[in-house]
Amino acid sequence: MGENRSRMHPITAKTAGLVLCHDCRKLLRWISPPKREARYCPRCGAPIHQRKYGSIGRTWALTLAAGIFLVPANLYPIMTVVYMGEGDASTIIDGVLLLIQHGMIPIALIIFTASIVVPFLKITGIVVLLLSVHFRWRLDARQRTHLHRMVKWIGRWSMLDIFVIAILAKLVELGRIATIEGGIAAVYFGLAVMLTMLAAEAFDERLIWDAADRKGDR
Amino acid sequence: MNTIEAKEPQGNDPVACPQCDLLMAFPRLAGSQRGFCSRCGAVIREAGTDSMDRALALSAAALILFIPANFLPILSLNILGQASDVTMIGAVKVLFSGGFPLVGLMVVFCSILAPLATTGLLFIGLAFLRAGRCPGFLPDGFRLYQHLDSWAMLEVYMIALLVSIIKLLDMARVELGVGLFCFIGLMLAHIGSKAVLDRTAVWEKIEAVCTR
Repeated sequence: MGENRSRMHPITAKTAGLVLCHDCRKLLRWISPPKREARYCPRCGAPIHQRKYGSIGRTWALTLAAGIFLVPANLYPIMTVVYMGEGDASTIIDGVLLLIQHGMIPIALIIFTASIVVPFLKITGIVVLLLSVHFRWRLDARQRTHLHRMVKWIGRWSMLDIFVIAILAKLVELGRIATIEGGIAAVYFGLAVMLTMLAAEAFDERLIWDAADRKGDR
Repeated sequence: MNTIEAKEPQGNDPVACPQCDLLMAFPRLAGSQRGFCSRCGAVIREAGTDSMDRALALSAAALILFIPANFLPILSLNILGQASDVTMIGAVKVLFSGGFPLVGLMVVFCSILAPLATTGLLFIGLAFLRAGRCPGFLPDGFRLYQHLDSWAMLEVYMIALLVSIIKLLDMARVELGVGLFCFIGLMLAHIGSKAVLDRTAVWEKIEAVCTR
């Protein structure tokens, strides 16, 4: 397969009547199954689909749910610090501002990135991918694939703040002197992060290329 | 089963890119070569030297470090003469007892259960393959390993530990515990086992061993 020819008329597994197993990446001949019957990979036993089943719908649902959870996650307090009898409940952004006040700029940046920038960019990124596939936007398909890879890779790092709260809550349980407790926002935030991870996983990036191939440009 | 394997031409294997579905003829890789998709740049194949043996060794190391890393104190804190310490297990327990069972579940899943399950599945699977045996759960076990992989977040936990230490520095004296060093070892072994593993090689081995 020459480089030029593959650029002009890309031969995909789908157009060649083949299918790649999602789980073990075995290349199989695609025979469309009789209605609604599942087929399984002979090597690993995973269900075989040409594209992830219901990918767009599931990705939308998970992304919207994550977006909704992000609202209370940012409005309610995520952590309460009681030091010498004085309680102080803080939201995610309060926590970042407090760190800046204390001159801990690098840590403030890490938390700001992991807890605020990343979740919002992730949701925006997934929505852009979904819309670009739906409306066949003329965006560079390779760049969109990179975007999807980045969204998938970075997702886990948003759990940072939740772990910090767990560690601090255990470490600082010194009765009268100081305690640190989680806040209700931690529940919403954790759920939002996990939902965005599931959303990124549910999105089938091959749909980007299918749309670009159909349109005959990339 | 109405699934037929694609015919393989000699020399080059037909492969499809998992990220853009492009069909390519791919040569066998050797040494530590990596093959990328010519259209979208996805990593298609990674050939590692002794990939499965190295991953087996690293997963064994991770399993050994698992108990001390989870039960020994990672950090301890001293405020005005009162001391407390944190273990991985303790950090989960405090969330359950503090009225946040859902957050506790998330933390225990990402920091303890998923890392334990992935390391355990990898170790058991590779050990059986090395012995040339194929128990029935092997393909499903390795599939589960692949699916749980993105939920094991030991490296994120490591950064969370560093952030916690720095946050508390001006409030109290923080001391590092034995558990921290076990945890660092666990994290490195866990990440290393992921990095050296050539998943395609594992599936080919599973196919070879299980259909014999």
